Amino acid sequence: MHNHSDGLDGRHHVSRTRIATVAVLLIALAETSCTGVTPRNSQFYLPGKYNFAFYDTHTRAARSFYAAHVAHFGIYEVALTEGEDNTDAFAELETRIRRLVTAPPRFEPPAELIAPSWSRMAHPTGRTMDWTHHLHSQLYDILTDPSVTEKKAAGERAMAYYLSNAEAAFSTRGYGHRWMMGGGTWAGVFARKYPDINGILWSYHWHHAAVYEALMEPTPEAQARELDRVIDLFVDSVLANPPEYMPLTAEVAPRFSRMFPAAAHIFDNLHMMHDITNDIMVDENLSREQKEAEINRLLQNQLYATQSSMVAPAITTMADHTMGPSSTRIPTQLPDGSWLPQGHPESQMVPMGQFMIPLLPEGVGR
Amino acid sequence: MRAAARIRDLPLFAVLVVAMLGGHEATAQEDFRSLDAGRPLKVTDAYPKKYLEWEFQFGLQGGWTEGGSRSLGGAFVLETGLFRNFEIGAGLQVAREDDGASTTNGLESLQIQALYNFKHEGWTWPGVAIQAGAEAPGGSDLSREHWAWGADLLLTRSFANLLRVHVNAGYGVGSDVDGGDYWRGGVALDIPMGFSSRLIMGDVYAEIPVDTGPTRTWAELGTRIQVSNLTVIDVGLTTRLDEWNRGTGNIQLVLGVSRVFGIGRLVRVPEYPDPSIR
Repeated sequence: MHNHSDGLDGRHHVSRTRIATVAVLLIALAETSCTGVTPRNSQFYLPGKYNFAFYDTHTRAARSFYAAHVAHFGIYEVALTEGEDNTDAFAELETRIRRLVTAPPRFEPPAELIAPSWSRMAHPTGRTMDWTHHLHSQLYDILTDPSVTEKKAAGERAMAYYLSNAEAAFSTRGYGHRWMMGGGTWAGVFARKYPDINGILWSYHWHHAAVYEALMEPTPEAQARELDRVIDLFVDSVLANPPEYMPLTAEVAPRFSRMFPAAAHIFDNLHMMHDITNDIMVDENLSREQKEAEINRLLQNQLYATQSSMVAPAITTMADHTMGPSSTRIPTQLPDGSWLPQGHPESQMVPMGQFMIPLLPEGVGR
Repeated sequence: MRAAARIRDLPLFAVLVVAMLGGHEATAQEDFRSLDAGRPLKVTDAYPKKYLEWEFQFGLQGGWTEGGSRSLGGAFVLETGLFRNFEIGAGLQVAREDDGASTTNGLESLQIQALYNFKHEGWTWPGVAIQAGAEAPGGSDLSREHWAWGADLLLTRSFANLLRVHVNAGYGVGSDVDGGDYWRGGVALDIPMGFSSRLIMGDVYAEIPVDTGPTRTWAELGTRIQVSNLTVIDVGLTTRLDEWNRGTGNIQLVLGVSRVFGIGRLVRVPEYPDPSIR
């Protein structure tokens, strides 16, 4: 071996010089092409023994969400690649979504598969949505797994991990409908142009929360029974007669929201960002560059990383949205120090006028 | 003898490892779209493992060449997202050669690699990463003679029709005994099959010696199939085009399995911050 090495010293010196030159060139080329661009920044979900308990135990319920993912990201892609007002393309998408409701794929299609062009345009938003979908899975798993006896502690641990990735986590504040109704001139455009698809999406917002509430049942048998009822209700009634407003998690899942008030807000903010993105993507008054900038602006406004300084806008007009009967119930602290989130049926109700002024960060001007 | 036993048991070992790592389902799977080197293409994508994600890969590659000799190679690789956008991996290559009269088994090489992703693909620019790696001799009769190392620029770009294009280009350093230094690179395409979590892919790849010697070129075709939410199997065919030019049909079959997992004990979870909800 020694002889080989000695004989190769000169050659290796040349090689080292050459590869060092190549490495410098590669790095310089990569750096040059990456000025002012977005890193991928993907993170793995929190490993735990409860992982996948929901899918393994309630496979039908788990797969029932996949059509919603196709709907959300499919809308973005169709609007971007086929045009904001291409009614034929949107009708075809709606047909595809309804087919997936009854025949979902075996595995959840990733956003980059459903919306490759949109994912190139709005990667930070797609990443944040994906990261929050992982939190959805974590909490479904924790509530499902009977071996997890301390549900609240396990759920808060999963949320602590989620929030530690603060640049990809939605705010825990109760923004309700503020950003989607007061965030820009695009508010309500999607619901006005495509009310049927919008109805499917709001039905799915209801469905996500209703599944949480079903999992609050005390036994696996009761959970399974309640999940079957929820899925049947979703397919037979909710999809047939969709909500006329974006339901808040606490309105549909009061027991879950009482246990995890911050999670209820996180999911409301996720759903709101989905709706905001719909509106922006089908607004024909915005160029592609303006859409990219606007989506990113709205994302930054709703991140956990920015919430301590963020002023949420007033709702100055209802546009084509309305709010549910419990939406004027604001986050309320109970005597034991715990909180009820916005929309919870036992939270304090305030006049609508309170929503017509901006919402300041906690501790500012109150 | 120990090496021979190890080679013989490779498939069984792979099945056991995959079984031990479980059969669970997860959500939002994209593993079938990862073009890990050798699984089955040589060209890879520009995206690293997720931060704190682990992946075990096992692969077999074998075929018959002119004259009836057989070759079989096995690869074990463990990769992880050590930091955001930064992946490291280590593996070993084992080999078995049968010339009809005798069979030789041995450890071919030990490998380490690191990949840093500078950017996700944007509206215009592709995803960009740099990968560097080194191979150490395995010490057996089938081992390479000396250390080798190299670096590559990796690009990945998606298109609206779901097609993705990957371009790799780099430089490899090897001793004269192992073939000398060479420029290397290739182009790959991949197309998912609807929402079935299956991928069809192909590439062409070349190694061009810096000094003398013929250019080595490969063409490869394969598929990756998500069989559970954490497990992907891959099947492909690879052929040396330059050997076809000399009348030698050298087609090899590539089979593999990849399994993603997390290690809870290595994840630091902060205290619940009891965040503001107002």
